[in-house]
Amino acid sequence: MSLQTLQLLQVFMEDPAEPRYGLQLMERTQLKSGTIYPALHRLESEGWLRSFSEDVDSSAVGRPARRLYALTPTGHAAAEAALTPFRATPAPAPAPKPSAKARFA
Amino acid sequence: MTQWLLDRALARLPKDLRGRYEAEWRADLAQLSGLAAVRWALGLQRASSELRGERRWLRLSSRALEAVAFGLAYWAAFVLRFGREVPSAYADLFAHTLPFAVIGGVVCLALTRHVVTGVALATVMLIAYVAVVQPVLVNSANGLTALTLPVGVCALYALGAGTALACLRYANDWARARSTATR
Repeated sequence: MSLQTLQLLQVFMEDPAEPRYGLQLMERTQLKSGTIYPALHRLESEGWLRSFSEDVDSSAVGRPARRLYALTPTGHAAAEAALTPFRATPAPAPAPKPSAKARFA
Repeated sequence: MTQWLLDRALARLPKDLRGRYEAEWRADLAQLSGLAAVRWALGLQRASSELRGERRWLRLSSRALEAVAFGLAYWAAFVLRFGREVPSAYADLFAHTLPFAVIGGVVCLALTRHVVTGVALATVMLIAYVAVVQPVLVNSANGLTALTLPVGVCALYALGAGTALACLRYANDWARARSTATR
């Protein structure tokens, strides 16, 4: 699994119930538009994400309805499995530097 | 500039994806302005290439299946016309014309984009190819003559290829509809 896919899944897993849109994911992951949309398309084709049109009145909100992406149960389970190894082992804390007093003792 | 880039990216997408991405990208663009919008639209060129590339791979696999269908239909036409023991002259004719039956069939289908018209054109082209190139000559009462494709083989080839390709198209449409419905 590519780093970009993991980054995307990580954003989705912050709140699995919340749907997200392409530009929002771009801003969160710092990935470019050329990477985000094909990645979302691939995840959708594999059944990890589902997409749907935002249910808003375009004239009322003053912008077109967004395309929203949400994790499917399959995607949720797969994302959990993919991200677990990165959560399980926190990086070890750096060893404290010996103080000058200790060094010259 | 941004609008031009967006339109260009949309035009490069396969038709069935165009409507969906047009709505999505225009909605995202509504939130951007200035250089950020241009950078985003430039990225779409790569996105559309990738999205199109994936489809191109699917198209290639579909062409491969069509080639197999044409080849099997041609083989079945000879077997059904002559039985298991195909006369050696006709077996030679089969071997010499099989590549044309397959490649010509796929090309005709791609040109016409319609099963019935494509198969009819492929059959006519195959008959013309055998008549012009005369790949197999046989001794007859009139001396050496060119062996032509039997009418039965032509009819069975057209019928077999047409049926197989119609089934392939149906299976493809069904799979696509199912995949769309499950999303």
